Amino acid sequence: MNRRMRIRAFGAMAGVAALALALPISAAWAADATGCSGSVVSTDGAGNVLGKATAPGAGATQDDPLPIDSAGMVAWKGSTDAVITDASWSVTVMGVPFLSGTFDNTEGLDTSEGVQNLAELPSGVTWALKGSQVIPVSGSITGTGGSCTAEGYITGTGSPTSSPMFYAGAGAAVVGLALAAGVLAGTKAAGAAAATGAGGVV
Amino acid sequence: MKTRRRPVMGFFAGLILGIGIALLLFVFGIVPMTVMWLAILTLGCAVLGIVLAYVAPARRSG
Repeated sequence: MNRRMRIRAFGAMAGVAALALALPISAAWAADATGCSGSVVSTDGAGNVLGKATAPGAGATQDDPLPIDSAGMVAWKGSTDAVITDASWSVTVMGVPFLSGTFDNTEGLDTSEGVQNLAELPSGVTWALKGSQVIPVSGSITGTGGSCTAEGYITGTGSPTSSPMFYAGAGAAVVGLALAAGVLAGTKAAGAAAATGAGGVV
Repeated sequence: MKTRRRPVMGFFAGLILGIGIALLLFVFGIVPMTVMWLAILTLGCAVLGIVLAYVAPARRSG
């Protein structure tokens, strides 16, 4: 890992994981943070501000998630309460470990900031950010000198019915209902089953 | 009296229906988009599908 990467990596949580994926980390700071603090501003593709959040402070909660536009930007900045070196970091999205890594922070930094162009993220991320879904994100840093944990909620933008997730869900529900109808239709008395050569539990 | 039932089909019916319901609840922001909710809804519906297969009234044909 080169020096530039080390500096940016340190920024996520108070810098660390934000580097790897500024989107969830920035939001996580905004809702709650221990051992660090920060703020984030989300903008759409035209540069209009969608939402702001700070930690400790308001925003990025389950009731008031931070809106994220997959075509927009997220500007973030944060700091740790103490200089953390030789640390490991991790990011969790939807309750599942998403990213992790290590950094040494030989520069002794305790602050970091940056701007993440969300259009540069993988297509799967942009796919998940259409609609009104409330997505929990969290992250942590543990190393020499201290630790930092943060968590929060983000949400997508646009109509839910424009989301691929809506069509996938509706399609799956229709298939499931059709199969359930097949279960009802396929439940037959022994006489009828025996007549067709079938029997027992299938 | 023996009755031909479809618990395996009921399981998959519930599983797929549960996934669909979970995705719709997620996309409309009704429940947080977490693996826990996905598992609850999917497995819950799968169990209901099995139960449906065992309690569904038998049909007579032919």
